[in-house]
Amino acid sequence: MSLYDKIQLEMKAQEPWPKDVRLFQPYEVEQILLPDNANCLAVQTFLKMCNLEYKVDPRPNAEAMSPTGKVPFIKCGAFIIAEMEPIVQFVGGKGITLTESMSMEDKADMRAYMTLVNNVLGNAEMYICWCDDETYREVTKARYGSIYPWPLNHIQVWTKRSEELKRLKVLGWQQKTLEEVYNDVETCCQALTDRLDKNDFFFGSKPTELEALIFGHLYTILTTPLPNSALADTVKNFPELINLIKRIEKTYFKRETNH
Amino acid sequence: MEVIAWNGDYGLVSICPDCIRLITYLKFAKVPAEIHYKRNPYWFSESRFPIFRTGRYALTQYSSIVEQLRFMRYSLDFGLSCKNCSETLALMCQCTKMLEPLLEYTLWLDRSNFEQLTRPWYTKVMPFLLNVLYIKRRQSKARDLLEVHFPNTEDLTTLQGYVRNMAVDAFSMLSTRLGKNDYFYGSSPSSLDCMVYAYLAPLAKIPFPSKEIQDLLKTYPTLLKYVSRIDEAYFSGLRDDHVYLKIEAKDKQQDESSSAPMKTKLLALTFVALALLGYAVSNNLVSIPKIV
Repeated sequence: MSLYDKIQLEMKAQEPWPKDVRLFQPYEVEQILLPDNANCLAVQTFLKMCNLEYKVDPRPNAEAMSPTGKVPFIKCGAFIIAEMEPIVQFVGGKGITLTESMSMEDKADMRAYMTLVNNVLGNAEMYICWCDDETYREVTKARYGSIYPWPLNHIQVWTKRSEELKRLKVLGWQQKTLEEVYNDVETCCQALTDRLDKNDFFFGSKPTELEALIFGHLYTILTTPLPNSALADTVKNFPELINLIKRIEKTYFKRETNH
Repeated sequence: MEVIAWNGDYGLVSICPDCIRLITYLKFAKVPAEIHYKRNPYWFSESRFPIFRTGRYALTQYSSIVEQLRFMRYSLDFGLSCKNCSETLALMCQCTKMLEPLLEYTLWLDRSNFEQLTRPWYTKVMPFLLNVLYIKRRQSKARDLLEVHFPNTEDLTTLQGYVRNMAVDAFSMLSTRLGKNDYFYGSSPSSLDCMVYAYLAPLAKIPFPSKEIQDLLKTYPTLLKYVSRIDEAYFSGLRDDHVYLKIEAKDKQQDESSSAPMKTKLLALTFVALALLGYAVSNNLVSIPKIV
């Protein structure tokens, strides 16, 4: 790419938010899995918090369309950006941010908590979907394979599972028992409650992308029906977090659900 | 109570970050444990270091060892508030995500570091054949970890760029967070300090042939001072020089050029001799007396 092209791209990146931004994700009702759903909801919440317009465009092959192989991704003008962190950076490049009044230390803390949520809740969701036999057999297999014809559905699910298991093994999660996973989730929720410390939001009086991420994960965990409801029950023991979720749901999605 | 850990070198208490982390924890919490430094993990049934033994237990996972120590009333974080404990958890998560791949990359995947330092070091320290096995296993482990953190990056130069950016991120985050304090939470060390020291000390002290990451670290004097502060306070007996392997680029090259073909020759000779013998036996040129 020549320097001129690069400058052109940079200039375009700084243009205001276009009206035809589309967010691609798998079908919510019949296809999407717990971890993907959490990430999609987190990005949607973030865009809503920034007051940015977007249209959800469900596609069965969203995962294969994404440049990183992960959902969700947005198409904004000439740009295609996947996953939460790059999207937050991209939106920040247009001068839209939720963290402008925060100190450097608070920003570092916020990123650390986002890593914690992604690491513990994200990997726990992955574990439940792919490592827990009951959930894998009854939910994951049927949903993930639903868009492929026979025998591709079995092959695709099998390939995806071996990929995810390898990933979890490298990160040291595959060796855990279900009990240990629930304990980790509990520790993480306790840490979040302690940091929230009876305030409305984590940093000051406005929500940040950390709240968007937490909302995405916890709301999905609470509302997704699974053969084993222990994960949702673990989260339900933290009323402060539930209240936070209800507040965000009411403000940004204009609806209420009983958790 | 006893702990078995990797031998140290270059002024490090141990060469392996997990071992450093545990030993630092023991020193900070003043746990009266005997520490044995060994050079071959395959000698033990766990086949990895560190091993923590007390009574009937033998543990290798850092988290379960700390859990056990807490159960025995040795804890570092008793003095911290709930909010600080919660922050510690988040920061430890962040450190693992950033510093672990950074160190794994620097030791096992960076080409000149691996060829001139890591591989010869382990080759020299561990017994023959087991060292080959161990080096292979560790390198593929490092490759898997980097693959998880930076998926679809086949090209080493691109990967190097990512790792470099991550190092800048991690160092600046840690030095802002540390500020002018002695330790992350005031004047006494916490479990977060064990982790940060365990990852930073090897980066600061090992004389890596490719100095990119090390030069980056040198632009953060707060972090270097932090490492030497812990050294002085808790590891004052350690000498800074090499024990097993001296890094001198020229010597190394000669060494390798003379030793590598020797091994290959021996292997080839054995193979040829076996093949000839096999051929001779199968064509009845040589008869082997039957033992009845």
